[in-house]
Amino acid sequence: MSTTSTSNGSVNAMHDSMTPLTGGILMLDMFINAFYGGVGVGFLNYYVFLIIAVFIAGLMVGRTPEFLGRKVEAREMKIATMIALLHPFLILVGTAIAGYAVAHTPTAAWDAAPQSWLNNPGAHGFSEMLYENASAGANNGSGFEGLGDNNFFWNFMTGLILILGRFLPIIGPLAIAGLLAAKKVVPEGGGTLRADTFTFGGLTFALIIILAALSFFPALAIGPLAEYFALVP
Amino acid sequence: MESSSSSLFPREQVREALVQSFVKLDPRIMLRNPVMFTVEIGTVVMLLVTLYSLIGGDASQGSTGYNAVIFLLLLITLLFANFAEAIAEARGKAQASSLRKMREDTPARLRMPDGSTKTIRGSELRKGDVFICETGDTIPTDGEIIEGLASIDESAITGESAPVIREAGGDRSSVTGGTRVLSDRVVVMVTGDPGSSFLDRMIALVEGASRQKTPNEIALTILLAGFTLVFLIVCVTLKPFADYANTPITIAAFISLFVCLIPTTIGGLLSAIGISGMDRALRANVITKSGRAVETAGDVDVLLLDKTGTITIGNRKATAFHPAPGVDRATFIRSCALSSLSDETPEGKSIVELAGADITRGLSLQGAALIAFTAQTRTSGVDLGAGIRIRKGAQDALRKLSEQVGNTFPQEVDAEVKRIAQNGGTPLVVAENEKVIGCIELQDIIKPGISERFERLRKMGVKTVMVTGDNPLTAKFIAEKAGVDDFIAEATPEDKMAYIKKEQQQGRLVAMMGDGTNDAPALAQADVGVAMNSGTQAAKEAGNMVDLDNDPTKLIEVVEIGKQLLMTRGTLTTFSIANDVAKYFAIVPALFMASIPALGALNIMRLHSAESAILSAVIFNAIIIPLLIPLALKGVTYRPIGASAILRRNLLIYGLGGVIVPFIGIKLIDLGVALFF
Repeated sequence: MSTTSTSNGSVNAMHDSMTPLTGGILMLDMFINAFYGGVGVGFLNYYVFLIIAVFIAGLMVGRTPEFLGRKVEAREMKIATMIALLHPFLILVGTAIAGYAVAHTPTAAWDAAPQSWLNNPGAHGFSEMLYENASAGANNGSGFEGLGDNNFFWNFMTGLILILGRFLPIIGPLAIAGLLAAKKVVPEGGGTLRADTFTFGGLTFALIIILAALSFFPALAIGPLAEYFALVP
Repeated sequence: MESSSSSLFPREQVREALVQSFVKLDPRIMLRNPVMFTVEIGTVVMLLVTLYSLIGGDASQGSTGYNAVIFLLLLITLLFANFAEAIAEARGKAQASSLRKMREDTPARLRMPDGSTKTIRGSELRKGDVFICETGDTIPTDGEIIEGLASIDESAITGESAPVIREAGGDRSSVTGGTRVLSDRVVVMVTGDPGSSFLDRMIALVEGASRQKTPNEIALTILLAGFTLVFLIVCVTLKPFADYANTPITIAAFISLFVCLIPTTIGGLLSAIGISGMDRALRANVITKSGRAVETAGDVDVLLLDKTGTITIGNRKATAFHPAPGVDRATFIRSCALSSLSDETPEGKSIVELAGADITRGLSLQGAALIAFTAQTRTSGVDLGAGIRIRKGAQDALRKLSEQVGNTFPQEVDAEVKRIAQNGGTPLVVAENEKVIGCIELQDIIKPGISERFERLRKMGVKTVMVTGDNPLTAKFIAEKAGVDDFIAEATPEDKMAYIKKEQQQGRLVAMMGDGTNDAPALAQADVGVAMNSGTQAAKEAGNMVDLDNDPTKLIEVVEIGKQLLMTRGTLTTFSIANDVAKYFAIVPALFMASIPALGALNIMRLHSAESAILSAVIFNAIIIPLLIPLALKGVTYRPIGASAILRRNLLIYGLGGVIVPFIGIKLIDLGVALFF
């Protein structure tokens, strides 16, 4: 487990100097952002995916899905979907804005022109920006470093992402919990799906990988993966 | 029941569905399905791009031919999805219309304004029409008697055998379609137009005009819309990423990536699955009033089943006469036979049969009045002209009757009743002028194979409850023998209602089947109420399904259909999402291969070229929809093997399969597509 998966802020090495794949894993940890046991919102996001997994698994066994004896219905799904959506939205949109600025307005008359942000252009520079946003959205706002980020653009954008990425995923799951708590408990029967089985765990895992991790696949491809494959002959 | 199961796609239905596939391209209809609506937008954009590259001659977006092919593939994807919905609708409609035709063939003798009569089909009767029914005629449709009086056999409707008198004027003037005139002649005015029947409602439901998404379908649509948005973000943000990496990505590639990633498979098949759920119910001869009811049936926890006809073979047979002490045996048998002579119920007939021809031959009902069974008195019998009143019924009813006038209930009869009940029989106590004269023993026969069905239900997690008018002893015996989990003995409609409410308060969903007006409140209270077609209008209005076969075991099938419906949705969603893994690996390397050659390493399928990779993924995405239509229509097979085992099985087939199949499929298509590059 690395620092980004546990969100505890301790750093073992300068991320900027790690090999591309190592840096990529650090980011992947944040993209997944559902490590149970991590500080902060790890559990909350896990819980959101759990709700989605329960819903799909419930359907697969032919029963209206229930979680801890409460039926999961349209309103819970709406909230869970929104929170699951928020995560790639913040990180990808943030990185997209930065990428756009570098590509199209490199010499904008801001306090620091976009072209001056990057010490390492190309794939590595992309990784730096992706990490910056990912950490703001899903971690502690730490940097991959190597990015000229102490300027208005980065401070403002990551600040905004930090606030949204921090508090909305807390409100959402609490709202779901509130809705579920107000529901009647369905007594367990032979047809009830148990959520503490290996199979169910596997489903949740697969869902997190496909929904959270794979959403970032194109971004990872341009950043760490491109850098990695360029290094490996 | 299995009338048209020979082919999934009869020709005329396919033709109709093909036409509908194009009609359904209307964006206003498409908007109901957010996933496919976004595909439609993508298709329109591709059309514009194709025209632009054709007219403008600008090749920066790829060749005109390539763009045109992508446009066509997207259009085909849309048409496939529409076809899935249309074919499901066509099947449902065909099934419903054939049922309707069957029921409308009762002939009716229409009275013309000039007084002459003309025979027409029952279906041609309109509100306000007047028809005539005589002895032996079946009444073609619901109406009100405006002239005359007749005795009518309503057993087909009420299940009660004693004929009822219906006459013009007053409360007893209405007649129901499907009942039979036993004697005399009535003139009836039609009270309702055809088109308001359950079948008509069902057809409207299938046709989509009044089809509403079920709660579960709504939740799934939200989830799918969420997935669509996630992938929209992925694709939109890819543009600045690509700009940064100096990689030009064509609009065709963006739209292809987007369409492949969003869950089009389940999105395209979602409504077909819902419709086919209703259709499968219809094939089992169950008419549902809403798709929601079928879905709820899959969730049912408690099943209330009537004993008679469901658990035991409908007819109980009289097996012995037990006169009370001091009552002459022959006289007792004579009284029993007299009270049953005009009793058309199987029980009544079997009593006459047991009494034997020697006794019954000399009996006459001259001047006698028949006393029909009612749910309140729970007795039936006959008032002979000579001031003799014979009644028979359940022990508690007769005890009340005799003790009301100060007679004691003979202890010997009481003991006999207990003995019969303990042995699973049904005692029928007989009284003459409110004095108990003995009892008749009736025996129940439990249906073969029924206990296996209950075992199956238990594995599904459904609790079975037997409802019976029998006394607790008999009920317990039969309940144990048949293997039901619980029973309600000496059940009154109020008891049923109370039981349903109790279970519902504990959060369980209850299904029940009923036929009489008495059952109406309970049918309405139950989460799934199946009324028998032979039942009263009130019962049919109260329930949310009607069983045309009047088969009480149908509830079990309905539960399975409901479960199948949910499972089909779940498995196809899983399959659709799992497919994304392969599609990512097909398209993402293709996007960047040109400008970042290093990323060619991600092309683990070794697809021929960027164009062929994108085309293959889009083609796979399109053809998987029609390939899965049969599964959507037939439903995933349900096996009662416990929830965790089902999940494991379905995850293996549709989850793991969903990851692997597109890798193979896209690679194979790519091998074919590569021939053109």
